[in-house]
Amino acid sequence: MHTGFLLLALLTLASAGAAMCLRNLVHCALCVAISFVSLAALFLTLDAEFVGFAQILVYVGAVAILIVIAILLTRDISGHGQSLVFKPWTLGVGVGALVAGSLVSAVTSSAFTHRELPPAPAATVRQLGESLMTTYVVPLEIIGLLLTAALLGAVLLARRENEGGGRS
Amino acid sequence: MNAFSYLDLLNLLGPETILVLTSLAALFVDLGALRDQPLPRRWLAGGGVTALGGLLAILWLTNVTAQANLAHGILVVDPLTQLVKVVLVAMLLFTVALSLRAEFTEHVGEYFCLLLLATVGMMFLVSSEDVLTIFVALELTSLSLYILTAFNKRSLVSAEAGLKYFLFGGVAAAFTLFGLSLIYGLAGSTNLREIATNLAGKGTDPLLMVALIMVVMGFGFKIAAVPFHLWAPDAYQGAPTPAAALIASGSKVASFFVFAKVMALGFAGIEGNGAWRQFAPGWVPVLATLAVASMLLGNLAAIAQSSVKRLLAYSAIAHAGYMLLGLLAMSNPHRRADGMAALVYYITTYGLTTIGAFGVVQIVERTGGDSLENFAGFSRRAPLVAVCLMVFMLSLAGIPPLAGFFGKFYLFTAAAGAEPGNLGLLWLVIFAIAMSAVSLYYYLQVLKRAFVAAPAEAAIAPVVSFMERLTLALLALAVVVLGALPAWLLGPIADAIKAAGF
Repeated sequence: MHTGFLLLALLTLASAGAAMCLRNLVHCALCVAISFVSLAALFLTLDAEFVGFAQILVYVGAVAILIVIAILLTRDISGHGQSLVFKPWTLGVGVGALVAGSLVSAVTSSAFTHRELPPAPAATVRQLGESLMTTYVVPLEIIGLLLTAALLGAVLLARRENEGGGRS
Repeated sequence: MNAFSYLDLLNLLGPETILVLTSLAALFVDLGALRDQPLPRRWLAGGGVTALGGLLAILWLTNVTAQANLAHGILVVDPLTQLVKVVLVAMLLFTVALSLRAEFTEHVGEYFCLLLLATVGMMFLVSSEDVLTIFVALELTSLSLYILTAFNKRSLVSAEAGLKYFLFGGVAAAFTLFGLSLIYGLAGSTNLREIATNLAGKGTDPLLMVALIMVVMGFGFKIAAVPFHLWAPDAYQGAPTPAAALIASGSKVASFFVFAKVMALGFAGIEGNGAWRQFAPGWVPVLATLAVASMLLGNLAAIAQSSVKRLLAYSAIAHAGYMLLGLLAMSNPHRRADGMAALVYYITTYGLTTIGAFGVVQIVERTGGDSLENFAGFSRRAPLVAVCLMVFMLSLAGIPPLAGFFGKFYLFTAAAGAEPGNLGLLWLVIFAIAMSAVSLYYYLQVLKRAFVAAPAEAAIAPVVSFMERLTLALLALAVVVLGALPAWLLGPIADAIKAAGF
């Protein structure tokens, strides 16, 4: 369990890092997909089956494919192969190390981590669905609105404007 | 799980439902019926539909009294949230009135739809005491505002501002979520009051402090407090002016209100101490640091600006610093109501004043740009608008008898009296008063250009529509009246706070 977690966490982080640093956009997209898969595996090791499978279906199945299609359709940006690594990179790594260090030291020195954990609840998909439609129906509705706004914004920002007024 | 009735839910969420339906109506009217109409007519129709929906929502909010706490704070409706929602919708209406002559886009329906969705997000934000709903509502508001910032597709500055706002916002949201999930892990609840109960007596655990700082980072970004302010000047400058007005007013009102709730209710018990030479870890010293940094950097950087929109952005950062004093005043549970009343009064009057200031900037922009030079001799070109500008700027500076003065007065007395007997936060209040004096310099710089400097040779008189005149005059009147008779607003706020049992 413990080594499994370490391996998966390393894989997630490494592929996420590679997705940011690689020059070829298609490789980046693949690394993102690997990162999504290992996250899904992490969920599965936590006995959160539904979230794990949803992660595979939605992120690996839909989002990663969507990214690849977006790269295919906007061919001209994939040609330059510009790396987006920020220079001087020491600054970014330093800040990252600082944040990670304070997080790790907080977790290790916290009194909360040394307590008995309650048994993990075994939530079925049915229970999840029921609480989404009752207790958490308001956040669910808000997410619906959020997606509407995101959709509108995506169409609006991505569409090509025709010069000189009038609608296409 | 308590019994759940969707009909009750619809009743409680009436105003939000009206605004969501209005946003769809605005979209359909514009894309369907008005497709081939000339642009000004489409702006008028979209604005009309939006204003109608907003007025209906205000009517509902003021006439339907409701008090409920649904599913452990997922949805909290009480007189106080209703009052803040009325303020939010009023700010939306003023923004809409200032948008009617806009020329920055052809996508009228989408523009009004997003304005409405942003407002709905703010309203959900206000009426929740559950971190899950708060986070989702925060995202709805932010996302709509990112798109509105980048709405002017003819301008590179607008696109850059949108991207910057989006990237900063994304990182801030990630930190908020990290902090909130840590808190959920530590307290085992997402309800603010339950979090405080479960964490009571645990002291200042390092992990709790990390979570606290992450949450403060996220909200600090929303309210543009130093050092999370970097997006604000660019976003204010690049965004279409009415959108910037909404970011500076409505979004601030909602964010501050919910920030105050999260700190005062959720982190009750780990306030720490911010009194001079008696510092103890907790959220009070953290927020006091943010307040000092915001007041210092906001006021000093504003002096160096030549673009008035950027000047207003830095002034907004400084005002965020003053408003944080209101949050600090709420650290004492017995004085919480005073702090809340002062904060709500301040953010309301500040929001109205800022919308007005942006309205004037929008008119000046039509004569060439928003730099200080464009304001030269403005009083001779548009006397009425210039008088409104004077009211807004003097109110922002805090000159009596305008609303800005009384806002600062109540805020500062609430902060000074937060710890009865020892005047613990007096050092912060003295600093804030000194910084207000600094701010007078750059507000007067703008007025000096408008009233004293001679107009440039080629200066043209701006075209000001009747609606803009009316809106600006109304806003200026509100600033004067609320300053001269603060009880008109403070009375209802105090009643609502008492009724809400805050």
